[in-house]
Amino acid sequence: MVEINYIGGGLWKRTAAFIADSLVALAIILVFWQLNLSIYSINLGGLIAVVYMLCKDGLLSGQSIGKKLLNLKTIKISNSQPARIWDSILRNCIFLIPGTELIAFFQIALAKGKNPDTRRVGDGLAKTMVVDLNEQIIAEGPKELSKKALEKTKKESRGNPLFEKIDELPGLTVFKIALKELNLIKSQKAGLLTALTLAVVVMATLALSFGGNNAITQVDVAIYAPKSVKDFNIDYFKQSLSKSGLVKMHNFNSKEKVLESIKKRESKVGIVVNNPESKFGKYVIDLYYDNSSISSSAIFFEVAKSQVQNIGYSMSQSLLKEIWGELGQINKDLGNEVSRIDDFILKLDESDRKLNQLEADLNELNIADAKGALSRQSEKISQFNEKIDEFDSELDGFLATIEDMNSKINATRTKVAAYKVKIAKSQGDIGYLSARLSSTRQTIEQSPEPARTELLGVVDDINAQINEVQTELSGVYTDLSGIEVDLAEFSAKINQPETGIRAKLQKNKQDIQALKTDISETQNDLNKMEVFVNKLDQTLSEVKTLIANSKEQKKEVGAKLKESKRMIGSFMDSLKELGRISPEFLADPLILNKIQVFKVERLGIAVPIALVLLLLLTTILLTGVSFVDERNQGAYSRMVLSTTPKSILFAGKILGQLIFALIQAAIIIALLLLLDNFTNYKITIAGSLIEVFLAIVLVSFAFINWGLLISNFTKNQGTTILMSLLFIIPMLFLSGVIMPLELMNPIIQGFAQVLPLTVSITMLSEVMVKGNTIGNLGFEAIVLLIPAFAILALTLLNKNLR
Amino acid sequence: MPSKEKKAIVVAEKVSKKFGSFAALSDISIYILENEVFGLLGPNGAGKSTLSKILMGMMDADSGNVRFFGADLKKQHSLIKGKVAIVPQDIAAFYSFSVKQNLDFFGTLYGIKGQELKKRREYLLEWLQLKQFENRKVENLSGGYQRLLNIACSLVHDPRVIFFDEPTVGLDPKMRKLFWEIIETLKDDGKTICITTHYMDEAEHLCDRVGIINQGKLLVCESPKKLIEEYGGFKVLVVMLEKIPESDFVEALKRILIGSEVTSLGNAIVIALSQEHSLEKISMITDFINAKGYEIKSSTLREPELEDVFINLTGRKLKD
Repeated sequence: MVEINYIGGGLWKRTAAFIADSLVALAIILVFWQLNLSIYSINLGGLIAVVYMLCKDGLLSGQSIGKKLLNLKTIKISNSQPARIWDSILRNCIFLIPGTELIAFFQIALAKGKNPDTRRVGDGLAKTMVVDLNEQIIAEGPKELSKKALEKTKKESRGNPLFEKIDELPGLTVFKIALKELNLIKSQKAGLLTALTLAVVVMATLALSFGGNNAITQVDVAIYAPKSVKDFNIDYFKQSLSKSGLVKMHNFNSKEKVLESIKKRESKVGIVVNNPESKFGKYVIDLYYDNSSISSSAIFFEVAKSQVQNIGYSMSQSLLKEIWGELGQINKDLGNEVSRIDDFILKLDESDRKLNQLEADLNELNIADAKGALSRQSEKISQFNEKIDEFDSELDGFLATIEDMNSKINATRTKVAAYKVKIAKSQGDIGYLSARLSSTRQTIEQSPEPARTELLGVVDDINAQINEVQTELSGVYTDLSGIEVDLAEFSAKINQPETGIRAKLQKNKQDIQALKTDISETQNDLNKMEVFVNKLDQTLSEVKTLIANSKEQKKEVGAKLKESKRMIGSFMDSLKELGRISPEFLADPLILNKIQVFKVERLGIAVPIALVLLLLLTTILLTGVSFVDERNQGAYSRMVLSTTPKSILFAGKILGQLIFALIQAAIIIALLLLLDNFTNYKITIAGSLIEVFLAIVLVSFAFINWGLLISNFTKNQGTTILMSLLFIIPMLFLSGVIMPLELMNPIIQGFAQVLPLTVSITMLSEVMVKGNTIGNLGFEAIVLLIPAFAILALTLLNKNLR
Repeated sequence: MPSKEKKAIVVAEKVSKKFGSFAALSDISIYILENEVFGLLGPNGAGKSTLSKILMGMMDADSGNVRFFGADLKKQHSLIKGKVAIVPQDIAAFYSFSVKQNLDFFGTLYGIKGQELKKRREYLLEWLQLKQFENRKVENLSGGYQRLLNIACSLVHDPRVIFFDEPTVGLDPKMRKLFWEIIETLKDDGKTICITTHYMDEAEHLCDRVGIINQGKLLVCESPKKLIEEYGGFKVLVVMLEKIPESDFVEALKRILIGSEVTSLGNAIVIALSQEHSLEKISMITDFINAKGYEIKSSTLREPELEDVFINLTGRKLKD
């Protein structure tokens, strides 16, 4: 005979089951809320949730969803039969009164051990109890079962016709495999509890961690600022630092003591004031910070740095105010300078005009003509000189000629005289001839005719000719006499002293000599003049060049002066503009407004990261370990030998793990919503819950497959866990959670950006913090899915898995 | 060879398998007839499990082929799967699940659901005495019941051919007997069974035919009886006398038992009877001894066993 003795369900199992059922109810509300079918959606969801909570223990043969997960059952005390819907309503209606859950909790807790009488008030009403199916004591008996016991067990295994009908539906194998996976997880009680509790612990830890101040309120600063530092107002510096309220100062008298303070963790930052540097006189302040922690050191350093910089700004401000005080005077002086420049420009213009005039005058001076004239004169003089010389020569020649002439005249006179004599003689002769001719004539006359006539003719001709000749000779004699007279006159003319030609010629010669001397002097003068003119020409050229250069330079100077004037004007404008700018602005022209693009608090930022890390750890470890366990237990071999294809086996496995991951995620999100609605934490999920869960599905799917990959190569739990850590820890460091990706080597950055953890954090942050949709995260989805499917294919094709 | 009455359900032809340079199986050809219990006998490491895994389709052979119901195992594995089961040596189940959960799950994997699954499960639970442990986790069962569950999980889909891999290793005699009964029941239900075992008595008791494998080679394949007859060697009769026999007596005994070997060891006369010397001879021997004036304190007849067959074929014991 077999007897089944039930043991009451333990406190923690029942509490866990109740929490699970509460989460189911919450999920129902959330689903209806998200579906937002109508304005009554939330109410409808709430109503269904309440109905579920009332009827849950009568649904699945005395097992609510929570109880089924923990293998508890509600039975009737009278006949050990599963509780019905009515029994469930009776035992659970008490929870409609808030606070009764706590009373029930303590009631069960106070009951000793797992006594069957661990019944609460509701159980008393409905006459039910909750039993632990794993703890049934079955007395082992002979092979035959008693009819009664058999009846009992048969009734118990009757099950629910509704679920049997569902069982008949095709395509449910994958869900049954998923359910197997969930049951496997559930069976690892410690693991299940840890995984579920982890979600709560993570959220609680995050809430505690991020529940503090949003910014650093005070930083311990060790300071060494010797009074000997040149030109540095140490007291002002220290006063300003402490005035900010952000700095708590610890004064030390040496740099070493400052460093020691940091090493002892008494101060986060150390300030050491040094002498100013030589080039610009800048104050040199060394800021030491404790960089033994990556993130917090930077924060403290920035706080200290900003305070020191603020002091720097205020010092700049004071200096600038002093400088501003002198700007007006500078501006006035510059104005005066501009006026002087204007005057100078005017003078330059005047000078320019004069130069132009001078140039024009100089241009009028036609030196070339002068030179030409001089040259011509010189030439003329030369020619004149030549001519004078010629003349002189001619004079000499003429004198010589005169002398010659005189001589010749004299000679001529002599000759003339002689000729006259001769002529007279000739005349005489002629007379004689004539006489003779006459005689001849007479003779001829006496000659016969024709000869006579002819001869008379001839004689007449001759006589005529002689008469002509006589005439001519007389004429000549006369002429000669005249000539003689002339010659005498001429000679007289020539020889008359002072008035005579000779005298005159000699005087002329003298005059010519004097003239030549004058001409020579004139030539000299002309030469000198020419030299002078050349020099003048050269000087004029130089002067013109100077004038041109001067004009050019004046132009340049004028231009530069104008430029200077313009620059001074511009400088003055700038000074005026500068004068309009306040020193406060110059000392620190920026007002930096730190504006958050996304309306999210630090906790809201941390939640997606925490969620991804939680999913990473739990899904990879759970998947890997469960798969290895399955193989080690031989269950996997049996599964593979079945008619269910491997693809369905793994689809079911993945689905089961996905569901558990979603449950974990649901816990976190539910807690998030609770924190948001019932505490001071403001954590808004920017994206829709559907997008969030879709992201979680993608991320979990990827991690699950990575867990499968790891377990492809391991043979026991320990190795699986170690290999999982080998995979997880480097990803953690490269994900950007501990150190920003931007600080990494570019090649590593590129690699890190496509790691599953990095992509998952990005995806979930995008959806939860920024309200992005999965549709816009195609790249991330591909980076997650492609390796996941590749791994799945590898696993399916791996024939070495047994 | 298969007879007309029984056809070969499983046929393996020239199957070979190497693991690296180690030849696990060399050109093995066997067949298993419908509704027979076929035993694969051999020492540890002989290749029995390898062969059964190849026959099951859990492992691929390097050469040769295996046919199930006339279909090539490699090409039609998915069709054959539903009709074949293996009961592995190690428990292959989810330890953290209950008996019922395991049966339901594996039944589902074979496409059995709803009422059919429930019927099948209940039947197995009842038959294999697991009903009382229906909701108990496998890890909380004793070893024997775990083994029974192992069988139950393998039978949930009502296979036609069942491979048992060392089914009774580590079991107590009571459990062993139960397992034998189960196998016999399965045979009565028309199942075809292949058992790998290194227990001779198991092979002798259960198997219609036995294939002896040693170092990857199939030595012989025949019914146990025929194997013993052919390769079993001598029956050994040990007669303990009250006194040391004289040599004359021993020689006389040898003369009348030509063909058998007679040895004197102290007070004992050890006679290895050849096959033609039937059991009637034994009474003749005892009469002769008595006639010679020797009192028989005790006599023991040891029949040849499969172990002897193995020793005679391989020159070493199965346990070696």
